[in-house]
Amino acid sequence: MATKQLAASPVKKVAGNLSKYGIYIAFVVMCVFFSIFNPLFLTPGNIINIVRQVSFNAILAMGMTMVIITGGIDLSVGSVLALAAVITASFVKTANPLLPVPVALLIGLLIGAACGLFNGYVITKGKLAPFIVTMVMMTMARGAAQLFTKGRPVTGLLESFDFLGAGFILRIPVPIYILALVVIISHFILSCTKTGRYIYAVGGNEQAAAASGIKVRRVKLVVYTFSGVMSALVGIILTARLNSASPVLGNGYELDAIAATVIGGASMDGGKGKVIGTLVGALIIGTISNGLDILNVSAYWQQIIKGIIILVAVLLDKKD
Amino acid sequence: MKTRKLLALALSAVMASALFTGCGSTPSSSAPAPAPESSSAASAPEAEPSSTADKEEIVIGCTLQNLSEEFMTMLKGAMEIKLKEYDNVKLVVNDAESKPDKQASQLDSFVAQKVDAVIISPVDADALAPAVKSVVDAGIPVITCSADVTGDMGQVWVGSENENGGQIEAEFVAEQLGGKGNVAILRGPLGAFAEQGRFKGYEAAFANYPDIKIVFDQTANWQREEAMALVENWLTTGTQIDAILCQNDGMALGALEAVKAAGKKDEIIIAGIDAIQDALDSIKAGELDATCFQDAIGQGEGALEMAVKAANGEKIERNNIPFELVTKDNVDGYYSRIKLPE
Amino acid sequence: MAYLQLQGISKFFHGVRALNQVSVEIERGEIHVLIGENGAGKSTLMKIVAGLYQQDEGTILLDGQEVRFGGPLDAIQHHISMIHQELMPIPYLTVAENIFLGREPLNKAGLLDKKKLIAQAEELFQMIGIDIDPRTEMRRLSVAQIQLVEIAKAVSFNSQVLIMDEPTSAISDKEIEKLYKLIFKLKADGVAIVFISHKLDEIFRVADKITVLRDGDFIGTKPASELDKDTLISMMIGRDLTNIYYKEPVPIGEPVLEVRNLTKAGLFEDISFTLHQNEILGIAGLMGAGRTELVETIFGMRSADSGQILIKGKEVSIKCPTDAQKNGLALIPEDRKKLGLDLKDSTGFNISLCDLNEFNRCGMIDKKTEAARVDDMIREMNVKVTSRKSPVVSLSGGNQQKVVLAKWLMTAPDILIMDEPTRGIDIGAKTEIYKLITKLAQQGKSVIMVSSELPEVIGMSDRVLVLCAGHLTGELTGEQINQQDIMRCATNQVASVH
Repeated sequence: MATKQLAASPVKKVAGNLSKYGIYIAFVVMCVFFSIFNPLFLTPGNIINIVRQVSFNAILAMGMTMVIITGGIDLSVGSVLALAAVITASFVKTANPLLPVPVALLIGLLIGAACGLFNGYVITKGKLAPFIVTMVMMTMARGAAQLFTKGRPVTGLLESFDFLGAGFILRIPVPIYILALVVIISHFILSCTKTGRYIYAVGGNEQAAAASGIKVRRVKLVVYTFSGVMSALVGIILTARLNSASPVLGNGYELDAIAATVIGGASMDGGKGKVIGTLVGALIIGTISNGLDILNVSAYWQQIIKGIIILVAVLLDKKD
Repeated sequence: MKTRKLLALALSAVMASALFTGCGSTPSSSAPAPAPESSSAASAPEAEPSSTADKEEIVIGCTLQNLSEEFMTMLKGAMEIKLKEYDNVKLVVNDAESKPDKQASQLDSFVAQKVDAVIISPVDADALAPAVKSVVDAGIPVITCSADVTGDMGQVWVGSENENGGQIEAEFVAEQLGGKGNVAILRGPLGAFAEQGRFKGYEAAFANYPDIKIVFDQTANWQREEAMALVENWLTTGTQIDAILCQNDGMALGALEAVKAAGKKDEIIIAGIDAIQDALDSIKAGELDATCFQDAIGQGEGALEMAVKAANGEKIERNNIPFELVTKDNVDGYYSRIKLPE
Repeated sequence: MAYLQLQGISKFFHGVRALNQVSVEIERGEIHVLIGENGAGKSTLMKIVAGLYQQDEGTILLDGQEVRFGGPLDAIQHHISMIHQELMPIPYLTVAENIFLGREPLNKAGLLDKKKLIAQAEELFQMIGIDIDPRTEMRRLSVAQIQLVEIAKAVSFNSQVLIMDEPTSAISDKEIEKLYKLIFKLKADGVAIVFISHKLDEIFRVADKITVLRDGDFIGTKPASELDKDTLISMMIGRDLTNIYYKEPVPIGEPVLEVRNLTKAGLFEDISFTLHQNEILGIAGLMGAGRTELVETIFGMRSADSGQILIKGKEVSIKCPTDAQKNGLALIPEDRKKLGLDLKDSTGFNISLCDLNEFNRCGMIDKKTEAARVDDMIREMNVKVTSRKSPVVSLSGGNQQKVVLAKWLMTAPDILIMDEPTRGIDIGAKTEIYKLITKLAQQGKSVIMVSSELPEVIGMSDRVLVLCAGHLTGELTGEQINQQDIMRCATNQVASVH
């Protein structure tokens, strides 16, 4: 086919790039805005503070991103997080430490993995909608956490355990290192490995993926298990940070994780999504809260402003 | 087909086990003497004959906000303890699961069952007012416990006035500050009954201290992690904060984590309300400065006692069980009062 | 002066020219066929007329007045309707509701007047001679019936220009006759009809005038009576065409694939055959004969009830496409959009998808080697694409098919199963695919080609299997491979030949 480049006008080009980097631009504009109104916003202390607060949602959102790329959804993250948190915490109570901290952590992560695997198994084997299956897991895991603790928070945990959430390495909080590690691993999986390709292929066209010799079932098991492990990881860090694990921990977190993923450019239809986009999505959500808190905006207005900023960010990112 | 059958089998097993465990949870029924099951709304028609057959028996219907909350579990436990003092009273406890509509329909079925008195800890002060009125109109006495409904619907309240709790907490902080300084406030969910009452108490107390300035005022929705993030953000602004008033202990402990992490524990006074175990431990360890004890056992026992009286036709009156300030000096005495006796 | 005049229309997509200064005139009461290879710009041109796209250059004159449409509604208000290749009815609404969607008659209370709605639809159907109950839900209609309803809808808008994009591509011969009848009636009523088609026989049957486009250029408009098939084809592809089947005889080798007594209840029964090295084995039959189901079973996409599959003399168990791939099989599916491609991703992503193991270095994909191999493949297969990063959805049908082929050739299969390898693609790409099949056979590969196009089966196959209602009803070689013998076997109800 004969091709001829249209002399693209500079205005059009800028507009094109604007939509391409929509959320990044939205993020920068937001930061500039907050720092103009309060110079403390862009101080190293506050930046570290924001990233630490964001790390919980961002880690959850990494698991969510993979699930959403396959065209699924995981509503159970908040509940699985609580279940893993209370069980892990019960092993590392100062008064009665039942297990060494590393073993307790491993068990916590395994609980997350088991819940995720269950999700994946039922979705693929029962050919059920991920929405339903993970919603069932959402209520079951929450109930299990309540049952396990009889509704009371587990408190008084070993100090060596608290390090994961409250500790510092080189004056940077430990959760930030964990977030960095998770982002690198997720990015590596999605863009450098066979599994990553298959995740996109399954979300892009599941039937074609199956006809291309991809084991669709295995891919789905992997993403839901990964999401479960991420939930458990967040449960553990949050517990360590608060020195307490409550069975109501993480209530509603699934919505923040989904929001971060979608703001980050993932499509709920599957096939599309990026780790870095999701990270920025989580940063946007966290930065709004932080910036509005710092400006001491009234709680009523905060909710309205949050909604507007997220809407604008998503609109800016919309292609075409 | 095979898997279908297996599934059906598994499902019936789950349902059967739910039947057994269900007795201990929601809706639960506790009776001193072995009585026929009549806890569920479905058995409403049977309630009448059973009460006419045994005229002595008093049935009290109770609906609590949310039985997965510790305070509500305490109320329920306290009522069950008090129940042992009577031999002709049957108590039916329903869980409203924080849903106003669910609680309203529970009230309706109490009316249908013709219970002798109703105890309610309302999920929502405004939404449940009409439902409470309809119970009163049916000639059944209503005791509102801990929380109350808006306006006089004929109910009689027992509890601790939130305004009183907030005032005690704020007075303590004001005295510690010497009547001068910057305070930050962490509220419960905006519009919640306790949030409104406790905040009124703050206002009443600070009216006497013109030099105390409120520099931050936000909601952390009773949640520990939200409170922590919020206080972290406040601390980065560099605004001088001398004290943090929290409307519950969970948020106070979250605030404490943030303040500790910033190395400012010695500069900032933190106080909460409720006196949960964690908070007492923290006060004992010299970290949290104060909390306000709300007497769940007193409220629960009081509610049942009033209900029985009312069912017997005696006159009952509004019963305020005051908050008590808990600090390092008197903390030891409270450990026994926040737990139900075994 | 012609009723609809398109003057010097150009259109660009992402800087790539799709139409270059095309001028066409369309009269009332004529059937004007627009023809060209896929990607020639026919659909683009007509979508501009129907208001779906806006032209970048050029003018449209309707009845002498210049018009420019902001959207399809604009065009409809100017009495121009288009019936798209992919129909989009609302399945759970009735026929009448679909036709009058957005302009439902209301009663005095402002509510839907259902009686009037049905009456209007019945009146319309009677006028143009369609026999469908307007109370039927849309989802219960066949593709052909939906098409008739769409045309009725266009008529209800009093359309003076009716554009039809390949209306006969998915409907049976009997239904085609009904469609023609309606079109001829509309023509007699003075409607200008634009008809996009690939089928040469059909074109000569309906066309008054024929306009040929090629690569976005206007090649010419001529009365149908002045053209013949060969001239038309050479106008379309820009050169004379002698034989498009580049079949060259190759000595047939050893058996590579043996299928024994393969049965799947309700789909096919007791199928046995052998495929040899260097062989091109055609599988013919009518729609629903079980051909696609058979090859999908061999490839592990469906499970068989009984039977054996042997590869190079050894029995193999193929439970899923992965197993098939490991045994050196590849399947080019019939429906490339549904089963062949991930349309949300890039061309390169699709090409390397089946063969990622080749680039796997300690768990990581060696992207450099991968890119080089993909680029080689794009060049080798002559896929017309700006870069491997271009979205595969932006390619024409023929190029998409080449991508599917490239994807499977990357896995270096010994046996290629192609299900309708040239469906819906233009003659240029078809020719290339025939060349490729011949080349593969020469290189020692074996090919199974399922096809409904008899000339293709006859032109390419060394041997032909014919299926009828799930039974193998014929195995034809040499002189037997002709239209009559194949059709005789394809319509035979009893499995007798084999």
